[in-house]
Amino acid sequence: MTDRSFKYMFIAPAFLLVSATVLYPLLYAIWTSFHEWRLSKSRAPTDFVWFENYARAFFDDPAFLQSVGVTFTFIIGSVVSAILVALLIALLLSRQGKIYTVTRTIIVLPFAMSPALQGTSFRFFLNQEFGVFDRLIGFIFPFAAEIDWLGDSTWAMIWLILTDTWHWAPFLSLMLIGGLLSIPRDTIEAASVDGASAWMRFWTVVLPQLLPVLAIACVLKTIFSFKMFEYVYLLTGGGPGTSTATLTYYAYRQGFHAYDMGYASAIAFVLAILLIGVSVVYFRLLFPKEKEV
Amino acid sequence: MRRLHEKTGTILRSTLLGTVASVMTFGTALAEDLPYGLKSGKPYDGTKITYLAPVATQYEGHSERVAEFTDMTGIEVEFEFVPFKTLLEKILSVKVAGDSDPDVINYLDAWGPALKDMLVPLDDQMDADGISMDRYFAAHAAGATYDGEVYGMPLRGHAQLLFYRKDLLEKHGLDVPVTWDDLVNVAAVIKEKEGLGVANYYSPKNGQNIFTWVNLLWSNGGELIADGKVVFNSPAGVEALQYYADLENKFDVNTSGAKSRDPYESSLSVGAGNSAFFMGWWWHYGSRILGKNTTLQADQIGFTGMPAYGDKGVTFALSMPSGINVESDDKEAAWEFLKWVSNPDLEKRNVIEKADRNVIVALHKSNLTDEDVNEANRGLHMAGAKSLADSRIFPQLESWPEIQQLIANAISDVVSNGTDPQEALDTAAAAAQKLVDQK
Amino acid sequence: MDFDRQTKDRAFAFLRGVGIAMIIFVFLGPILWIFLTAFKPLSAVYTMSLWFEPTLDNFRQIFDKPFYLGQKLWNSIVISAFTVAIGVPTALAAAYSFSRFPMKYKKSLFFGVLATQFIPPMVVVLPFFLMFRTLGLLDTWTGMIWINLSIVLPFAIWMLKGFIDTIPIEMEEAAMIDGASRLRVVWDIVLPVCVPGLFVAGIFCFIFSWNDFLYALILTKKEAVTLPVTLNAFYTEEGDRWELMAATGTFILLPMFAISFFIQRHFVQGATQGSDR
Repeated sequence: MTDRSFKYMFIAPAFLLVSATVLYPLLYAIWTSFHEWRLSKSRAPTDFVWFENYARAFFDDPAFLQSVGVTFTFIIGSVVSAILVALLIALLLSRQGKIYTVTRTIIVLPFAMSPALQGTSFRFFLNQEFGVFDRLIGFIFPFAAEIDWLGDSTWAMIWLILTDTWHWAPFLSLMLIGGLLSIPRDTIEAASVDGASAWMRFWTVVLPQLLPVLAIACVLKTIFSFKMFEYVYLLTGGGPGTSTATLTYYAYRQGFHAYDMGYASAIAFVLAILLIGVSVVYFRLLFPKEKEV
Repeated sequence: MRRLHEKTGTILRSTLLGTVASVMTFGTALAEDLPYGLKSGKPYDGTKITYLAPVATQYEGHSERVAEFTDMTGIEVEFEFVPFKTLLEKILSVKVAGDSDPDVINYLDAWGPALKDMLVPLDDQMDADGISMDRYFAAHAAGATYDGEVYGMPLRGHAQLLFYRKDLLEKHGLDVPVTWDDLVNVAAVIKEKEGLGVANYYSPKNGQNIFTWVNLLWSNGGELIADGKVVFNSPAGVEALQYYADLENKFDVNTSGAKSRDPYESSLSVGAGNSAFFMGWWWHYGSRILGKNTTLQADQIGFTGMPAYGDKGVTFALSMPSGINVESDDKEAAWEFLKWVSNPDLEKRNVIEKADRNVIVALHKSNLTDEDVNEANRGLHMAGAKSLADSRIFPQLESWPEIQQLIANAISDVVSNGTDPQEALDTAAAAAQKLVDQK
Repeated sequence: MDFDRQTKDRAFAFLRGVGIAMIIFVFLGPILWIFLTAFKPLSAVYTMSLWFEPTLDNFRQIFDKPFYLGQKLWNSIVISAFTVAIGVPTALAAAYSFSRFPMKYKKSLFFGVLATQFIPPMVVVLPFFLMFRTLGLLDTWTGMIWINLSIVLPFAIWMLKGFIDTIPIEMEEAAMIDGASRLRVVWDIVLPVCVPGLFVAGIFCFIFSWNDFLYALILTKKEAVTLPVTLNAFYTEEGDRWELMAATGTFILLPMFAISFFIQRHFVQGATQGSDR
């Protein structure tokens, strides 16, 4: 078999599986975003309204614009924090030995925990009366004992980011460990023989080789930060006020509680367009050499 | 009967069936007379219907007795329990698909206006079987009715009560608060002496922080929406919100953590012995305040109606009616089930015999004032009856759930971020007006 | 100099130890707390207490009506297992192809695969529902496996491509010159080196299908209901039944721990081969 036929044959199953499933719903949702569809009135989209739903978002809905801001705050915070924590964990754990194996096993668990259970549990943990986090933090930092974590706009956002980081950083670190362990050891050893400091070794030898995996970890985390829903829903309910109401949460409210699927779909596609924009920037930065043939 | 048949579009056949059924009823009336207006002679023997309900003790109570119904009618009932948080999504997916399954749907009254197209109006059947909404309190009946037509039988419904630590009030020789100002005074003493405050909740989660504020608004003579105009940002509304926020920020009578608390955590706080007062739905009494999660004894907890603001006290009431899916293939069997499941006897038996398992919610006026019911539940239902006598429901608008969230966000914003109440309510009102006008 | 080096090494070892202890504390602590909660009687659930009489009541409740966890556990296992069994090889093939071959519109295709996942599920769940209804896939294992595959595949392809990109191509070229076929090269050379990546992708596929809630809620009814739907059922109208959620959560985590530990050993093995190369 030639490579020519081979390469398409290898892609075909995945491509067919994905496209057969998602194309129809995606097109349906795009179509919906240009229509009026009030779930309370009709079982299917009704009038074609051109860009009305999109125009409403940008020109007639301050809450939407505010939630764009909230979304970006969350994305930047959660991507940076998850990647940094993951990198730290990965550097610590990319070694041989029993304790490392056990620790690596343990850190699969936060990711395996259902977001629903995690969100609910973390809300309880932060409760001033019976919350173990609150109690522990108050014990270590007495000045923080009186803070109502989820009742303060800034802290609520920080905890939202930390909750998300707790879930994602361990998994991302497994990705990075995978990447680190497949860096040929001789290159690192060569560098240390040269007397390069650990810090230099990291910057000049380890990081460049890790870049493909790190880049993908960043892209994936960004996507999941955009789509994050459960923690807002369970931890803060978008509050206090609307200080943690992200776009996904807003789209959900518009679709299922204001019964406005047309508008919810439009918001979702604005989100997707933003995501495409961000991804393109990532691509430029992270894969500058990759050429299309 | 008429309307039901119009919806199915099989007028002729069904009328024929109905005639046959009534002849049979007549024929067998002497042999076997079924209660609650159920048709005797098992005309729907072998029919299987499904019932979509959220998880709550109420429905578990029903499901445990449903064999009695099957014995009488031959109709089998399958309960499909879904999480309450996602009940609306599930119902909307049934609506969009036009599914014939489930046959009976339990919904929250506030969703009624948006769901009415998928529900069968029940007035004619109720007339035929001699069932009247008068057996319920006005607020619960209103929640199941839209534009003068009844779309569901209220199966679960709530009254707001003020729960308080009886032992602590007695210890300090304090009277049970009647007005909000009383509450503030009494709570200040208890908080100072015992360190236990009011378990208020301001988190905008699921729009629930509006439940207490709306009491203040209505009691203060304000309205949410009047004649298609959003008016909750009126001076009465602003004053109510200022007062509600002052409880936390000025009077300082709340147990700390109120800014992030939701009602569930609030009643837990009383149960855990951290708070002395809680205002909310009566079901909290059995499962959270005095449940297995607490060491409090029944005589430590008192309950009364919600405090009045000035000299007026208007409370908020909520209900969960069950209606028949308009696409159902077995509407008549479903109606038989509704008759049975909503009958006052079943409710009475459940709230008496299953009181220890917190099946305490009752809706029939007759049951709320019933001696045996009250004895089994320490008079909770009598207090509920008083609260419900002067109660109201939210405006019946399709977009109400989202308007409720807008107000909830405003309340939270004022309490947590110190935003000016007028400004916060104006912003919410402007957005709400757009939703109202969308019609 | 030697002495210096030794203290430095010791200091590093100490710091590493502290780091590992912190990782375990931060990531395992909350899980242990939830685990404890699952065994608490209701009277101790909302307290800080570490001393309580452990009970199995919560577990009894979740397996009893109306929750019936047993059936759902089985559904979840089958659906997730098939998603991994089909998803990982399919993704590996596609990722290899994306990584190794020049292709027309490769970037767009590669990006397009991922872009299918840019839309939040709540706006596509109703179209999915309508489509599955037409195809008769509602409330079936097949339907659930299919939809899970469509979600995890794009991510798995991306992850695996990242890993394959780090593998030097020279070894494959050498083998090809020796006359090995493409399939043989993938099987003998790429696959062993890729084990860490396969592990990560497999974990991802398994956990994602295991935890999927919204699709499972809308697309199942009775026969194919999965664990997360039950987990969410504990958000009752009378508040969150945290202790029951914790008990269910334990069932979600325990198999994960076992599987993960089992694979880790292979993971290390694979990784060793990778780095000794």
